[in-house]
Amino acid sequence: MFEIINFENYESSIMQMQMYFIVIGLLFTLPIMLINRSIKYGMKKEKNLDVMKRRIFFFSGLIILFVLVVLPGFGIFGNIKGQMTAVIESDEDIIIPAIDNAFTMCLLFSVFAYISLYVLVAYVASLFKQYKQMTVFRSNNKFFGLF
Amino acid sequence: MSQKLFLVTAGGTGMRCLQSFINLCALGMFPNTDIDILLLETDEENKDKKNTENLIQYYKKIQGSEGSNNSKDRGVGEFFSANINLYVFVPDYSTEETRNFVVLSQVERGNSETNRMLANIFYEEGVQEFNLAHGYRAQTHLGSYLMYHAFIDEIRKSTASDEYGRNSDLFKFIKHINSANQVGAKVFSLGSSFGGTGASSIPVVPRAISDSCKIISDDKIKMENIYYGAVVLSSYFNFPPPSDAHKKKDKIIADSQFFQHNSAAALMYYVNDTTILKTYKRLYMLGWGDFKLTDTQEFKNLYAEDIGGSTVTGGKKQQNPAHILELFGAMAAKHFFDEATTKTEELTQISSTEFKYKSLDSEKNETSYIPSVKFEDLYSTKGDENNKGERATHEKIRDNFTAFFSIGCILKKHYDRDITFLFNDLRLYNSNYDQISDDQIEGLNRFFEYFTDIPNQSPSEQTSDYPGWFKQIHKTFHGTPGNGPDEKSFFGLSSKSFLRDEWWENYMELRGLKEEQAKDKFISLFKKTNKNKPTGTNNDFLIAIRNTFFQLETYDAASPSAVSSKKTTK
Repeated sequence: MFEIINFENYESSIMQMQMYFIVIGLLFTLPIMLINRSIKYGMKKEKNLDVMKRRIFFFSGLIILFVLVVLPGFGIFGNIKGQMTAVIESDEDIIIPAIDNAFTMCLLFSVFAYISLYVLVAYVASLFKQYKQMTVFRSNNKFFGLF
Repeated sequence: MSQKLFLVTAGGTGMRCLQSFINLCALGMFPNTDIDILLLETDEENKDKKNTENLIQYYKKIQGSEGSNNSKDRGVGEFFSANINLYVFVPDYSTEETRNFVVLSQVERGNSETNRMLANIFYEEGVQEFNLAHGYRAQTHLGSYLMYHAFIDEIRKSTASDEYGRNSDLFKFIKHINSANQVGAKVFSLGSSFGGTGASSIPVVPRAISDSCKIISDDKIKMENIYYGAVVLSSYFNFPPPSDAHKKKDKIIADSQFFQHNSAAALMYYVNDTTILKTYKRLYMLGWGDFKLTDTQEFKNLYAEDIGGSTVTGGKKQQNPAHILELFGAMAAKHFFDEATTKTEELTQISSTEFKYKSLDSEKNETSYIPSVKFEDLYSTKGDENNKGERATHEKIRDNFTAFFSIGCILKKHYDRDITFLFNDLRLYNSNYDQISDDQIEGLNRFFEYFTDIPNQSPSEQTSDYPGWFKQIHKTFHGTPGNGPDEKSFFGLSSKSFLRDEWWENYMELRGLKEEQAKDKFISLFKKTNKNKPTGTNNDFLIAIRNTFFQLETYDAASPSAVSSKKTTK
């Protein structure tokens, strides 16, 4: 996945890593959107749980993404870091701490990408009068049904 | 000033025709029209009368006009868009001075022997003496006399005393007709030709109204701009004949086996009587011919708590199932009221009553003819289908009927008959209809309940619901109240929607889906059709839900496309 990393190109490699995390965040959104789309609107006397289910799936996706990224050893970040470390040519004492320092940004990028894509798709869908995804953020005409 | 519309309904059949008429108003068949309705009945406790009054009360509640004349609230979408004013007149036959013909006409006063001889020329002894509290018991020759007398007596008392007049609905109704004479008005009468009160009242209504107006205006009025129309409804139901004991006790009692003879006699009278021919501009002849009559007792045995074979002449138990002829009666009123079908100018040209009728398709089986009905049969106008970009009137009627019935089924099947739960769901999905009063919610619940299924108010939980108005019409259409007719012969609507409340089976896009899928598609469509709404009124809700249903194509079992779609679904 990564080419040989040395002092000359390590910054661009770290940027490439951050891009991977954005893509991971985006890819993570898709199955959650598909699942939420399949949850049907309800019509019943009892309280409808479909909106709550969609929120549960949305936040579960977010938490799973977070955990997968940060999980020590087998986590996505650890895995990518391992792959990068394996192709470092020189200046390991500079490059490895730089990769470690990029952890927070990678996490934020993936989470941000996940949330942003979901909000964007929900908004665009609502412009086309498809409101199901938007119910994750808005129900009872309030944000998350509360505010 | 627009033309005024007046409706006079008389007797048990008249009450049920009026229920059909109110349903047409609810379905939006008379948008933004003011209609004054006079309800004539001789039996204060008649259940059909009570049901009709309740229905109008729910209608008014839904409109939100109770206690407020806010014009914004009046035109509720196209559903419930007619403004109805109800006036009730029930001659009081409960007192010692009015209980029968003899005391009412004061036969025993003055020269009683001459009076009696005169009375005997017109009425047999039993007819003179039966108790009038349960109506005229199919004695129309007596009923017409008494109803006319009751009209005139009420108006005279009202003109003599301001206080009496203020409390008299009939007086107010006549005053409205009196003033409408200047701008022109159509008066339409609904009732049977074979029973008691209706058959007695319809022949005398124009004369009674004209004479009442003359009393009010000191004979200074010519009723030139009032145009009268009516239905002549022949027999279409029967009930068990009275027992010998019952006959012995009451002497005069309505017997449905004579209804057909009564109808035939009435028809001869309507066709030949010069007063009728001069006063009525148009009469709509409605009959059930060789089709199977509805056995009201069989219907009650199946669906009502009250099981028994005795003949009911009136009172709290007189509640017969609705029948499609009553709907045709209400549609006749629409035909007469609509300028598109009955131009006032044409009415002025009519010098002798014009008779109208229409026929239904039918098939013959081993024992009888089986009718079938389409929405076009209810109402259609010439060249209607050729209007580019707009649906024909019968298509609008079909869509309104199906949507209205579907809302009733939705409330029953998914929301335990309480529309509040539907509002809760829609609010969850960001369509908030919060400006609806408790009265409007109560009105909507009861109205849709009445339209589809009425819960039996009995402690026994074994009995199922009493069919609502539309389901009654479905069940009585072929005379057998069981599962009702084949779907091809009853407006092409799905049998599943009538038997299992599967409302989605009436829409091509939803047919064949499972319940959960149908709900999902419907809410998706609702959201697609109506934007998010932070706040909304009853008016907004009714428009929104109607528009949603209008996005769907109504299923028609009789059309070739329905047959091919059935094949592909399988």
